[in-house]
Amino acid sequence: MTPSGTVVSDRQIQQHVQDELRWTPDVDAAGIGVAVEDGAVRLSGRVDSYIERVAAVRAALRVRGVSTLVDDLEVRRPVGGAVTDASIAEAMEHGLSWSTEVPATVQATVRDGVVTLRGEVDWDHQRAAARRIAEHVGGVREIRNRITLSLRASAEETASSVRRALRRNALLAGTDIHVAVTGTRVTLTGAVRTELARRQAISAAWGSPNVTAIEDRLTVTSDV
Amino acid sequence: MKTAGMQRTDHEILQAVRDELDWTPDVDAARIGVAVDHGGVTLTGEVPSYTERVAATRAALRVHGVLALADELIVNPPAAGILTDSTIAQAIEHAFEYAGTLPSTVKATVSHGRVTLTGTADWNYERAQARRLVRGIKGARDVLDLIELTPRASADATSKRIHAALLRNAALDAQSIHVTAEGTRVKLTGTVRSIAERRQAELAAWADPNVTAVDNQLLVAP
Repeated sequence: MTPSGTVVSDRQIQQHVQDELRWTPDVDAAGIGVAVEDGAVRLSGRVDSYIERVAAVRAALRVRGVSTLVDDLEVRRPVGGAVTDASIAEAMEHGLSWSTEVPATVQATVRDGVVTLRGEVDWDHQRAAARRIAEHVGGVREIRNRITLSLRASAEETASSVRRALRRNALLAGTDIHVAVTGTRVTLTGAVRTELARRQAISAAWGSPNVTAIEDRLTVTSDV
Repeated sequence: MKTAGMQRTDHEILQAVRDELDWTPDVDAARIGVAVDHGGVTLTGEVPSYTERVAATRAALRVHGVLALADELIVNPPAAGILTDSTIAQAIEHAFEYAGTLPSTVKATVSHGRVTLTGTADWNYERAQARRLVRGIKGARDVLDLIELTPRASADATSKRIHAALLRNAALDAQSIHVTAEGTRVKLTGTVRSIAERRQAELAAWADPNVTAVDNQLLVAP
């Protein structure tokens, strides 16, 4: 038991990540290797589905003391011939066309279990929704999200409106994030307490109608 | 900078929730009414899709100072977007098949756009996955999850194991959360700093192989 604020050793972090993977029911921890160096976790080995890979990465990232994560996990090729590139493409077509979130401009191509998403959308959350559809399709081994955002004008008030959005967020209360804006590019710098908080900060910045790129220089540390 | 701990007035929370709805790209804030009473937020009005309803509730829930949420939003798809129940049911069935990870007993029935999920799952995450797959489907107005969990044996050290999981979680201060187990039923009491933390604690409890019900009584004290 380590109170927050004190430094957790890499060995302890490794043990806690292994415990958390075992504890997570949607992950088969037996096939996953965990290495830790200076709080940075590397996951390696094989899992059965892309959604299991996502669950394993999330499990590791929620463990206290984990600062960054390298995902070297591979999704096993499905055994038997039931899942093919053609069936994955069909599933993607179905998922994209039935989605209330993803515009019709988004297309998916599949090769050797690798889904590539292309097209242009207005908002980052639409890109994220397209990726989530691919994550849930059986047989997908890798996702390349090449969806671009439509052009936007820069605005004077971008930095101040992003700062206000960060200040409203319950998970970011008491943290100090520096917001710098050049044109339509936002750079976030500072320390947040958890991976969850980091993700919320980034999605808060994506809420701006005048942002086309976010540079994430946030660090996760329990010392905040 | 120490804003945490400072009590926010209902008026400040109301303004912040309105601003957050305005800021959220997948929500048309003009259609949504917001009321706040002692940190409890009520959202009313009509939205065109179930995903927008979820986006609006999430936006409100992430605002600092919000303690609870009553979601009274109604999903009313535009006339052009109304699909027959059987078309929606078929789309959901396909989505489940393509995912390939849900138990075969999980089924969706659709009535006037309202989706009811039934069947039996081994784990709570499978129920969550079924809900997630249904949520974004065109024409779905509401999702009612009646999926049951397979019965499980109770175990001795349930509350101790869950407490260990809470300790590992970077988002939680496990000292302020109390876990009690009665058979396969778990109760969480104490305080957390945000609604997101409340949810993390509940998910940690659901991961236990000897739990069939989680009674989350954690209070949010920002």
